[in-house]
Formats: sequence, structure tokens, C-alpha cells
Amino acid sequence: MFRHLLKYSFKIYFYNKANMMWNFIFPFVFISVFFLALGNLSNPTVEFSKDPIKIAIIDTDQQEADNIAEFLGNFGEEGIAEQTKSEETSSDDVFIKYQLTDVENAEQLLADQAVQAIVKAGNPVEIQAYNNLSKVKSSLLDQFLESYESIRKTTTMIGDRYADEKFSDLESFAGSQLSEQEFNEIMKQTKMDILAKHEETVDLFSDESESTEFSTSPLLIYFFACMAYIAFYPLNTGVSTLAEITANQTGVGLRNSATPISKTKMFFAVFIPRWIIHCIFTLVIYLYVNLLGVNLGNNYLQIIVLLLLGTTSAVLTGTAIGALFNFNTGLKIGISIALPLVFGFASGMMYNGMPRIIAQYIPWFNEMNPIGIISKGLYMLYSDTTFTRFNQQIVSLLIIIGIMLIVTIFGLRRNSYESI
Amino acid sequence: MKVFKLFLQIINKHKGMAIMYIMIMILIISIVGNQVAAHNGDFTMNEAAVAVIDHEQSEFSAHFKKYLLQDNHQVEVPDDRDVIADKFYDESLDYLVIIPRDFSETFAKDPNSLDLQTNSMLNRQVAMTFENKINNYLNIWNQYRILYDNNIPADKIPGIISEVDQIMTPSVKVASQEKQQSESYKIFSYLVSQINYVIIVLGFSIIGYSFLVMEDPLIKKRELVSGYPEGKRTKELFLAAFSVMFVIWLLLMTVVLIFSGFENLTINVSRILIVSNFVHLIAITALVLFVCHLYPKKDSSSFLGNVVGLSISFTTGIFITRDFLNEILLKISSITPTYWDVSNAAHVQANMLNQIDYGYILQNMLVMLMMAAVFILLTFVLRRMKLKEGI
Repeated sequence: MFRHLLKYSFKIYFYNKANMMWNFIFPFVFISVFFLALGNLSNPTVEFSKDPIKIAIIDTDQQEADNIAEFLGNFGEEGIAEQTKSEETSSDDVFIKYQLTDVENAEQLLADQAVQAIVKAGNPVEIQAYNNLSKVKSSLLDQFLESYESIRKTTTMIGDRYADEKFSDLESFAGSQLSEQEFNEIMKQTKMDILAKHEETVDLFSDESESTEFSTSPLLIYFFACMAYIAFYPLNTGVSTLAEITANQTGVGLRNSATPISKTKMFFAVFIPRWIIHCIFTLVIYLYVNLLGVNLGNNYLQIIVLLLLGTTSAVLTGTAIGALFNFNTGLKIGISIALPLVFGFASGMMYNGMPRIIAQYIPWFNEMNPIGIISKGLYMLYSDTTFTRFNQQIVSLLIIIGIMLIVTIFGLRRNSYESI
Repeated sequence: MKVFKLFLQIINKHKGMAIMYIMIMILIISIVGNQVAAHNGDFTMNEAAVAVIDHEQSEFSAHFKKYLLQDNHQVEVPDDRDVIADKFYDESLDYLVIIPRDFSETFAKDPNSLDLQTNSMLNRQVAMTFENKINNYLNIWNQYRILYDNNIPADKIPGIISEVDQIMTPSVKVASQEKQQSESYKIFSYLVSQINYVIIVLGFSIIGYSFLVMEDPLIKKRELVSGYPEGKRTKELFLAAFSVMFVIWLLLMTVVLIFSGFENLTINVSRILIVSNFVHLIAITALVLFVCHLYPKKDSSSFLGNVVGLSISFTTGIFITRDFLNEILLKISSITPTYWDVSNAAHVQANMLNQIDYGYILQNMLVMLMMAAVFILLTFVLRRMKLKEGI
């Protein structure tokens, strides 16, 4: 009898087109959109060099303008000649294009959208006007200019300090007559010291500039959360499982309750096929993610175990919601869709800085967030050489699964007594 | 107004779901709004969780530590590898710097041989930001080292610290005219685009669901048989849908104004964005009604809200800045009204107040209005076809 029920549960689930559409096609569509939308995040540097920031530099002092142009030359090139995005710049290191010009011409260039900002070379440097300068580009331009400013300020302060050191005995210096030759010698020495900066640059991370195995790109961090969301997505399947065996929820539930089969047996007969189908769905989506070229790590077996436990916890959380609460199925389905969304949001699926904010203000939420646990587990598998912490995530998921199973069985038993 | 009242009664009957969705979405907007307001319009990790373990405890190392922690959230950790790793995996730590005992001594000899232990497990971008920060800082000190022939006298250090502080203080000026209002209207423009996601999800989950309940053949036939004209019924249904969406929108807009400041109601560009967002609301409501006629399954309305909301949000640049979005996908997303409203918000964020092109914003609003008109027209056509088929 149990085998018969299992077989028909499989069939019923597959014949329901809505189930197929929302539980199978949606994750595929979502992953594809996610991948296409965020594809450029894998290498933002290349994206910048495709469409560099274009600025016009105006001066109050020709020397200042030359200095800033020379500095910006390290990150880009002179000339703002029109170049479409598709043509792309020849080099991957061109983040900025600049043009030294006068005020009138700069304003005209800005009005024509040939440049995105007018930078006034002075003390300090001023972004005098900007147009169509996105937030990312404006913060990059700001960083370049702040770097220039810090070098300029350092040069000035070191120069002043040098002069102070050289002429510390001001009284005797006041009495002496500084010859032009001596003055020039001092200035030459100062410049040499300042030039030493370029020759003796400190770079503690020159060997680590490339990504190591312990580093992750923002794209991958988004994908860990997205994959975890997909694994936890079938929460609604658990809710609908309970709805189909509970008399006061649906017509099918009423009919099933009238059969001479225990509720627990009926539950497992409906639950097992759905659980198997969703586990397979999750694995197929994991395979699809790999086919898209997103490498979530090489510990395939552990990843699969993690994702399957995630899907199991989702289906059982759904059954627990279905068994515990007596309100209408529509509301339960609503909860089953809203809950993964909230968990996904807290895990960084929409904003990758969110998990740290949650960890800072409500750390307990991260401990009980299944999507966060799966996402963290994927991240640990990717970067941790030992499995100790990963095993902790597995234990956390097993605890959630255990609790949800107990709650479901408890809820089912309570309903059984009610029907007597 | 029988149908109008019935629509509201249905929403009232399902108020549990409506309240739940509205509260969740308000919570999301509030968290985002709070962070954006705290970081002057950026939802990036401007504030990182940083731990600095100072083994030297000198004036120099203390200043270095202070510099690294500036504008960041300090995390206290012992120098224990396992505890530190746990913090990284708990996502409560973004970057760690361990200053060695011989920091000053090694720096004086050769700064490039400093054994500064750093670690960043979560995001390579965070690591790069801090690597640049550390290099900049040490390069400035290196100039003083050169000045004093590799041996900075102890009595000079307080003076140098004060100079380094001046050097590291941001000094690039941004056009003074927009300084006064930048934080306010830019935060507002960011948040106003974020509520579009919420509007789409709530549109399908609440309005779509209630609308489909109303369109249930039993309810519809009962009303038509009782002599209620179809035209009047349709008008009231649409009016009710728009009214409920308007109330939800007002609620969300209030949340946005709480976080971005009510002075935005006096700034022209913010007012225009409110109008643009309202036009978007009309277009999205029309889209919801149209989709509900195309796919009239009330049990799927929440799924639809989820799918459409996430897809539109990821492709139009609500969640991810448009600088990183796939261009083709972005162009495809222009078939949705959300693209045009997000474009308006992005335009405001990317321009100074006096450079904002109001013509561009109005043009985008016109596109949204046209889309709304097309969706409504198509919905009427579908209703007429269904009526003829006797559905």
C-alpha cells in the first residue's frame, strides 16, 4: 500500500504543471538572470577600463595642472577622443582619460557630455562640476584625487620640515645672507628627497596582488547566497505536503484523511517523493551552475551533501509550518515564499554586506538562518583547508532538520487527536 | 461601489498575508535605509569590521592602529588563530592586521621587509582597499624615514603623527553648491529606487491575489447576474487595485522619508522623483493586472511576485549598481517600467543639482505612462475576449 501511495504521489507531483513551473523552471530562470546580471562583477577592473572616467583638468596654476596630469598618467592616458564602449580601450589599465584645457572649453565639454567631470587643479584639488558620473566612478575619481592630494601634502610638509631642520638655528640664519646658489642647492636637495618617494615605494602586498585560493570575488559571494537560496527554496513544497493530508486545509486533504491509513504513513508517502524530486532538482541546478562556469569549489561531495541537507531542511521547515499553524493554506504559502526571501536577504543575496550587518546587530539570527548556514558552508568549503567548521554547519543543518521533523510529527499527532 | 468594497473586504480577509509582506518589506527597506543614511548614500561596505592586534604598543604602532580603525567598526580578538578564523567565518570580521613587536625597528631598517600579518577571508575587494590604505600610510612615514636618514628621533614622532593626520585627512573639494543637500537628495534617490522591488512583490502578492479572487468565475458571475454592469465592475476593480497600491506606496514613501529626511519634500529634484515613482506605481499596477489576466492562477500570485520582483530588480540595477550590469540584459530590462524609474533615480545620483536634466526625467516618466496605458489597454482587450468566450 505504501509503495502504491509513493508511486501515485510521484505522478501527481509531476502532473501538476504549476509545481514544475515554480519549483523547477523558476530556479533555472533565476540562476540564469543572476549569472547574466552579475557576470561583469567577476572582473570589475576590466569593466572600468572598457569605459574609463573622462575628465577635463583646468588650472589656476600651470604647474599644478601638469603635476596632476602626470600623476593621473599612472592610471590612464591623456586625450578624451570619442570611443564607443564596444571598441574598448587597448589597455586594461586605463581607468581615466583626461584633457588639460581652459574653463570655457571644459564647460563646453561637460555640456556635450564629452567629459564627466571638471577638475580644478589647485590647492586643494576641486571637483568643480560633474555630469553623468555614477557612484562607483565618482568614488574611484575621488580616490585618485585623494591619493594625489596626499602626495602633494606630503611633499609640502616634508619640504617645510626639511627647511626647518636645515635652518633650525634661525637667529644665526637671520644674520646670514643666503646666496642664490645656496638656496638652489637646498631646493635641489629637497626635490631629491621628494623624488626618493617614487624610488623607494613601500609595497607590502606586491606578491599578493593576485587572488589567492583564500580570496573570493564578489560574484562568488553572491553566488554562494544565491545557491543557498535555491537549495532552501522548496519550503512551499513542505507546506503543500501537509495541506494535502490535513482535512481542514484542502479538498484533497479531506479525501486523504478519510482513507483508512495512518496520518504518519500518509505523510511519508506524500513527503518522500517530493523530497526526492527536490533533492534531484537542487543537484541539477548545481550542475547547471557548474556548466555556467561558476566554480563553487572542488569538494563536490561535501557541496552536494550540504545542498541536499539544505533542501531537506527547507521541505521539513515547510511541513513544520503546515503542521503547526492552523491558518489557511494561502497564508502558509505566502510565508513559505517570504521566509526564504528574508533569509536570502540576510545572507547577502541582494546586498553582499548584509551578513556582517546582521552579525554585528543580531548575531543569533545568523545562527538560525538556514540559507546563511548553507551559504557559509559553501564559503568554508571554498576557503577552509580543514572540514572542522564545515562540519559545524552540517551539524547546525541536522539540528534544524531534527527539530522540524519533531515539530511536524508532533503537529500531525495533535491533528490526529483533534479528528477523533 | 459594491465591487470596490468587496475588493477591500477580500484584502481584509487576507490581511494576515498582506500585513506579513508589508512588514517584511518595510523591514528590508528600513535596514537598507538605515545603512545608506549612515554612509551618506552608499550601500557599500564603507564601514568594515576590523581587528588590529598591536604587539609593539609604541606611539607609531598606536597611530597606525588608530588610522586603520578610523571610520571602521573595531572588533576585539585575541591573537589566536582559531578564534580569528571563527570570527571570519561568522562574518563578524572583515580584515585583520597583526602589528609585530619589532614594527618600528624593522620599518627603520627596511619598510618593505615588515612582517605585517594581514588576513581577509570574505571579499578580495575589502582586502585590496586595506592593502592600499596600509601602503599609503607607510609610504608617507617612509618619507620621514628618508628625511631623518632611516632613524626618526623619538621626540619628532608626535609632530610627525600630527602631520600624517593632516595628510591623511580627505581634502578634495566637491563643487560647493551641491554640498549642502548632497546627503539628503542622493540618499532619497537611492532609497526611492529600492522601493520599486517592494512595490512589485507586494503588487503581485496582495493586489494580484485579491484581484484573482474577485475574478473567480463564481464571484464574477454572481455579480454580473445580479445586474451589476461589467464596465462598472471593471472600473471599480481597477480603482480599488490602484487605491490599495497607493496606500502601500504612501506607507513606503513615508519610510523612505524617515531615513532620508523630510526636507526632501522641499527639494525640487526629490519632488520630481516622487512623481516619477508614483508614475512607476501606476505602470506596475497596470502590469500586475495585465499579468493576472494572462496567468489567472491565484495560488501562483506570490510566486509571480517573487520571480518578477527578483528578476526585474537584478536586471534593472536596483540591487547591483548599473556599472557592473550586463549591458544586453540591461537593455532587455527596458521593456519594464522599473528600468525607466531606476534610470531617473540613477540620473539624479550621477549629476549635480544644476546638471540634472529634467527633460530626461520627464521623458522617462512619459515612457512609463505609455507602458501603463498599453498594459491597461491590453488588459481591457483580454477581458473583452474572455467575456465573449463566456469566462
